[in-house]
Amino acid sequence: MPSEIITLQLGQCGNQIGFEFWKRLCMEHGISPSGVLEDFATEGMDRKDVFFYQADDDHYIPRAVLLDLEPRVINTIMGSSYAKLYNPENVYLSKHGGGAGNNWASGYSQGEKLQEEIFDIIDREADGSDSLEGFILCHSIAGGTGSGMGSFIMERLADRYPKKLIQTFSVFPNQDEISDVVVQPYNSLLTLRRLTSAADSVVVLDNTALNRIACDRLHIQNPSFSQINNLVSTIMSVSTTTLRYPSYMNNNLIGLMASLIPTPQLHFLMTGYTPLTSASDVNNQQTVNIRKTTVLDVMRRLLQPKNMMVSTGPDKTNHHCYISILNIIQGEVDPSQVHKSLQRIRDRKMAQFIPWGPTSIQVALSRSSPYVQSNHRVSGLMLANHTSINSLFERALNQYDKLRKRGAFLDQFRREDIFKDDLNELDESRETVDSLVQEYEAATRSDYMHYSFKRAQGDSKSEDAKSGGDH
Amino acid sequence: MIHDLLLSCLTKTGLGIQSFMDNNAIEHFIHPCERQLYIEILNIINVLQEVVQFTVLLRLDEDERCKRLIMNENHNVEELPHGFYFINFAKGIEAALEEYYDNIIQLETFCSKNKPNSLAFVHDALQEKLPIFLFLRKLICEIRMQKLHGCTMLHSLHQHSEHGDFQLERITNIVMKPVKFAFFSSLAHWLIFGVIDDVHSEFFIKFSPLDESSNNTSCSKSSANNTRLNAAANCEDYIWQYEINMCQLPGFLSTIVAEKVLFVGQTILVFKMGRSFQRNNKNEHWANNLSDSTPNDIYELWNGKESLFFGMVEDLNNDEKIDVFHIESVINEIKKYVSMRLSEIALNEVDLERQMGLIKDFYLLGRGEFYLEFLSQLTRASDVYCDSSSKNYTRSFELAATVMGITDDLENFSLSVQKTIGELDENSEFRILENLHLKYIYKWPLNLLFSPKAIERYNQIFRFLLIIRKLQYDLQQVWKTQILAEKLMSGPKNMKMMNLLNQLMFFLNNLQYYIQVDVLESQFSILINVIRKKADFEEIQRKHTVFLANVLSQCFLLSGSKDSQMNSTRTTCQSQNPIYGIILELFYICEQFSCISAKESTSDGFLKELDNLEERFGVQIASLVQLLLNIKTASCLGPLSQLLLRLDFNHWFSSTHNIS
Repeated sequence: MPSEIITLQLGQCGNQIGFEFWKRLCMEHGISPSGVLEDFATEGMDRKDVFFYQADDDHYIPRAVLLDLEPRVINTIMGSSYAKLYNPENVYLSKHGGGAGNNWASGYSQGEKLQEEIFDIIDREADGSDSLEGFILCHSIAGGTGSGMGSFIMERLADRYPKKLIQTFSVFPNQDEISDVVVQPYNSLLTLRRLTSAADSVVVLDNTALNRIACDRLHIQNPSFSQINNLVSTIMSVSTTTLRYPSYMNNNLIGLMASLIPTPQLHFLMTGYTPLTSASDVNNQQTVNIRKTTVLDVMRRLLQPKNMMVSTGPDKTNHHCYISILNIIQGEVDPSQVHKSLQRIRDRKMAQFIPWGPTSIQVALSRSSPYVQSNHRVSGLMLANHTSINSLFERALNQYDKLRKRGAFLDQFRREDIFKDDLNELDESRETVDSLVQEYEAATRSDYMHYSFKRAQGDSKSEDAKSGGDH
Repeated sequence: MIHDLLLSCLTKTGLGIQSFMDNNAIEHFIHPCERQLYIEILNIINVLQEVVQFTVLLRLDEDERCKRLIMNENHNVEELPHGFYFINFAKGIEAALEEYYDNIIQLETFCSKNKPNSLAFVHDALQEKLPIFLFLRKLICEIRMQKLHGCTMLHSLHQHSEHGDFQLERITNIVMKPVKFAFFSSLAHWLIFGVIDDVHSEFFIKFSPLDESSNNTSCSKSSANNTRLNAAANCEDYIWQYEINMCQLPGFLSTIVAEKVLFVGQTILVFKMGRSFQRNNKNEHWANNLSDSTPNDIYELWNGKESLFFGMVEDLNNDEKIDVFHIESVINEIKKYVSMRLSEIALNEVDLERQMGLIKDFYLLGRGEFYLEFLSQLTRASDVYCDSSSKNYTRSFELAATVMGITDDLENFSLSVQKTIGELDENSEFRILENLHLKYIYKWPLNLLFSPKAIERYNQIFRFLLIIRKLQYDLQQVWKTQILAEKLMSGPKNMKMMNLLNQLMFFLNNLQYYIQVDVLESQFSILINVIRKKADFEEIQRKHTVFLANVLSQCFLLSGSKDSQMNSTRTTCQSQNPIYGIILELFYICEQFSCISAKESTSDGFLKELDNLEERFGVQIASLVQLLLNIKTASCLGPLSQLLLRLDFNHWFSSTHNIS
């Protein structure tokens, strides 16, 4: 089947959101928790084959690989009603089950040790698809397994499958609460380096913003993990609808990414979703009152920062701008409204765009699952490339610098191979992330093309020098 | 003498008494005072004779006519029009004269009873009839001068039927009656049975065989004679060869009514074809089928009401004049019934909505993922077979269908390249795309919706969309190579190239969004709403035509010249829609770009080429935006401003190229 995508779930967080994602996909495609197609869903024209494959006995099996170094989350999944959904051979748990201790370095080196077993699974899965298009990776950047082992696997994937795209759904830690993971800034920075260099597109899921949205917009006092994950699974499923349902555009990952990512570096995407309903509403599936949202409402709200799933902080100088926007609109849409909304948004200058190239709000009208009832007439997801995302990286840099200055908690990193000799890895990561921040900053200026042209030349020189030094 | 005179009033040939003038017989019998009267009577009889002569000629049957022709006896015969309407016209004139003949006979008996009779008496009686003769002569002259025949003749008569002179009005009606009869019987045959028996092409609906149109008239005449024969040859498409013959459309019927009449007849023909005939294209088979299935299928359409409707059309004969409103109401009623029946059948049995869905999915590229697969199969195929043979297209199309698991949906579609590869340029993939033809085997009875013309229009849109899609696909591949090269730090990064690539992709994406969302989606939703409302079929048909026309014009595909072949060479661009010309030029740049990028080098030649392309792109896009802006300010044309909004959303093109 064409344009298949393999999903890799890493670590506690990755497996949790992955689990929610698959639950959601099963619901939308009418697949029962045990993988059997429901009677009401046999006539569907949806494209189940992108994310699922059909086993001989007509069971649908997710193209998913579940990886973790500690058994808790995976055991929960395998104890749930969805246990039979997954191919058991695709579930990999490290034998010691001790986890990575929230240590990036530990995750990374364990990934290195386990790579043969892991890539046996991935290779088998890749061989099983006719024309694999790419990988989707779910993980968090703060912990140990998702960030460390995730980083290693990302690098290896880019190496091993040089023609396949890698997209990640990366969960960024909540900045508003004090984390119990003290080395989180190290972990984040080291992962960010891989996300910059090895991934082709990163959908940033910022826990800070997700919590804020859950509080403010869903009116949940202390949002639980499952409530947050529900938001995440909505974003993940909607952002893949154009791949999973027939539509005239954005039918594959390239089609989705190419219009959003103008230069290789600028590949960190924000998301926004509206209208949001609390999990209880969705679960009850009561059509209490279907709200009369219009396309304009949806498109206007998507441009409001409070609906963004990334907390970028106030833009004091007001210079940040959109590099590109793709709105995926679902529901009963009168196509002529799209144009009116675009006109309105432009007339009212609701969004600021880059000064160095043509860009617009692209609107994809997508089908939605007939099996999931929505409380809203129209709903929309925004995938946006916005320069203000660099504030997220700046924050990570600041926290790293604070920790690094004190030289705190470096011992547990030194224990692993990669940091045995020196801490160059950390310094290089800082450099990469710093240049990423600069890149986004430059993208707000009209001479960006000039800048990136120069940078590209400079880069390739230093790259040559570096590779020369390695050998 | 008087008796002779009266006799010659009755004869149809020649003027015996004319010779009285030559010898002095007249001097013997007629008082010199009456001489003037006599001459006047002769004049009247002359007029009468002209009229009578005409009818006599017309009423000759074919054989005799030929005989005369051969003997070259009368040159007039050759010029004389012929046809059933004329024969009926002659009949009408005779009927009109009937009264006069009766009068003369009465006169004769009267004369024989009374001995002393004056010529004035006869003159009086004839004088009374003179206006009628003159009027009839005028009618004949008019018809002959204007070379009217068939329905137009009826129209000319109809115009006289409102004559102020009561007597003449009555005469007109008498003359018109048989002509009217001919008209209504053709009408009834067409409306109820879909048959046109019209050797002389007198009816306002004509059958024009396609393949023989270039041949001489006698040939087409003979083929019109037997529509069945032709039908068998041209299979399903033959219903489209029936069309309104504008020259023969009587003025009292509007074109709208005529279209309704045409529609009803075509519907009946479709039913005649029968559902059994759907795909057996063998002629003889079909011929058999026709005779077998005709009663059943027509019965299905009329549902036992055919005699009722036939009666209604026949009743029109009973109107003294041509009652336009009556005709229209009858036609409307029949049309309404037929199209309701057709709608019922189309919606219930063939699921028109689904058929339209398929059309949208495949002609209008609604199934983007399928065409994506098609394009990737195509790339693979041309890699494997090393030639861009046209067979690859058909093969890739079928392969993609299998891969996507939608062979069921695609069973009625087939893709082919119209011209053979030999006629095409060696290396131009563009050219092949321009000659692709997607065939759709529609389900009976949707023949009325998918005329060959409509299918060709769909193909035009299809090719346009597919070219966009193909260019987009190629550019995306370039993008992918660039992005992946960056990741591996292997390839040299070329920001200049990336920049141009982004702009090209932006242009294509937004053009595509514009077409798919602003044009196709909105137009299609209008059409589907009409279908959902269970409108009668003619309404659907009309809306369908409007849909196609709107889509074509909003895609800038509508151009004056009929042959709107896309052409990537620069010379022919100008002749078409200017916007379309620029779009083609931009396509050409996109194609060139992906061509040179595939080779990928950092050589100076490549960079120069890149600069060149960038410059050309700048010029073209600027003129496109300028053009759209101008049109927008000139008139608030919705669709164009939609494209402009998308292309120039952040004012990038207008500001970099200083367009106000």
